Amino acid sequence: MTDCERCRGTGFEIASVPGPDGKDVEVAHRCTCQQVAGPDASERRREALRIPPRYEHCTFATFEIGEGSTRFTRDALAMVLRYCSAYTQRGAVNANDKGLGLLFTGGNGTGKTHLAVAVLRELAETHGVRGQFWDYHELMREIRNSYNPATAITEYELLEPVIELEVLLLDDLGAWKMTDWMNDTLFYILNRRYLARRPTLITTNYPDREVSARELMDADSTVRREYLVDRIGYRLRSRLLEACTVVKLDGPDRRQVALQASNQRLLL
Amino acid sequence: MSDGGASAPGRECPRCQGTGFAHERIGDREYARRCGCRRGSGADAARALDPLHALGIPGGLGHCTLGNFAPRTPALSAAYDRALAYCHRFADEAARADGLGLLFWGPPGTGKTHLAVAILAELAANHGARGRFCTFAGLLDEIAHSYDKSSRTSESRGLNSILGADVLVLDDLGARKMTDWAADSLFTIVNGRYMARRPTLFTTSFEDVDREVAMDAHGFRRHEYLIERVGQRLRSRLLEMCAFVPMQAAPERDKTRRPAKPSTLGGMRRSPKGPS
Repeated sequence: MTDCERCRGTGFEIASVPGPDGKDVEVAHRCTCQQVAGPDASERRREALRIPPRYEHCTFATFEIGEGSTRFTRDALAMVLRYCSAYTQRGAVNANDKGLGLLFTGGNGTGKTHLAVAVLRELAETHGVRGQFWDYHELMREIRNSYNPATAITEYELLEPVIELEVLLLDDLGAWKMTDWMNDTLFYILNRRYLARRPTLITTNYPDREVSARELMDADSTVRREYLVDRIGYRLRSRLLEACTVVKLDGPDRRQVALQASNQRLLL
Repeated sequence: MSDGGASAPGRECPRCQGTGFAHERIGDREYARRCGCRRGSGADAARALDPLHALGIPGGLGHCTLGNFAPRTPALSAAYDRALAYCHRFADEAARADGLGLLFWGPPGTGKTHLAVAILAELAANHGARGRFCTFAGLLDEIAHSYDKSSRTSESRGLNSILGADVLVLDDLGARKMTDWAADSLFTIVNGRYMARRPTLFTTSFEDVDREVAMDAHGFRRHEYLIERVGQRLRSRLLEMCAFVPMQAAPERDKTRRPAKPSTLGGMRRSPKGPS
């Protein structure tokens, strides 16, 4: 593939468009060098990808780098676009990198899920990758339900397809209490996928940082800020960092501020 | 429209055509009101035909319609207008696709449940929405019951009917001790409906304040804030999927017993244990 001058082969260029409040915002546009697929095809693909209706609008083209975005947002977008464009070449240098995924970290409403869903779609559209969106909490619940004899599906029947997926998007990792059982199950899924060199995309609310054992003991997690390691433990974290590149997102909560205001306007 | 009505030929009421709802004009719009033909019919067969029964609306709330809500204060008037606007908006298929819900919060006795039930009945009668009414505590009991070996249902079957309802009313959110398990179940439901863009109407007697305000308050007081009861994460989801409608007024039920007090005192009465 020869690189396009405008998008440097990423398939996307950054453009300024007027935002809802009159100020310009930057969005990623599909570069003209790329073919555009029909709307029907993309709708069918969304269902196959299990992307919930709530996130159906999430593509690179709708990802706004607006006022209040930090440099993290811009860096994250650039990084993720590079990941997509280099997807087929991954593992060319080091075979282990073939299973390299992305770990999106950041607070509520910073656009983690938006970017992760955009990657999933982009890989499916340009490379025909077979992937699926799974809400982490929902997946755990489904697995637990499979132990109930009243349900028709077994744990194996549920887990294997998830492990076999070319790309798995696990949304909202670490939400709620992690039991030992959940931790083991998650380790099993991620480990098998990693050994089979299949990338996993993960989003989590918890910032990732080295936290010393001393620090963990010193201050109770109800007092200090919680980190990813508090939720998933050392073993899982180290496997996760091995298998994923961290994409840090930061910035204001788009949800709470903007969306509640627009929800209110809808009923006036 | 409903299969239940068709199974009893000859018994159809001419006013409501067996739907159990008659239409009523409020201003320049039409809303559904329970038809008089249903009143006083105590037989089980008639009960099964009762559309309110199918929605899971308890008998004691059967009288709640948009027509008989009496807004006594400007705040309640504003809330009422929101409820009407919500129903009106629901008629527009393109607009309702966003799955917008409502969260009524305010002290007990202001009519939060009245409005939520009235909207549910209205949407069921005039827009064919398959609705479901649950109290928060009742819902948790139902899920807990599904773990019982003697009950033949699995947890997911009970959950699916709640997750799949076109419109869900979840009454009295947070009015129960939040164990890890309860929080987990609640999050499954709210998050599931959030992701599928299915509208949910919540009512809660806990005051909604921002995180900063809640952090500044002391234990006993703080415990009465929504964010403390359901957690920051869930509140963030709620803010995104609902328009928050504050309902503050002198409590109707207690009018004879106590003079009007600031709404903030409304919550304190319901705190038997204090912070835990």
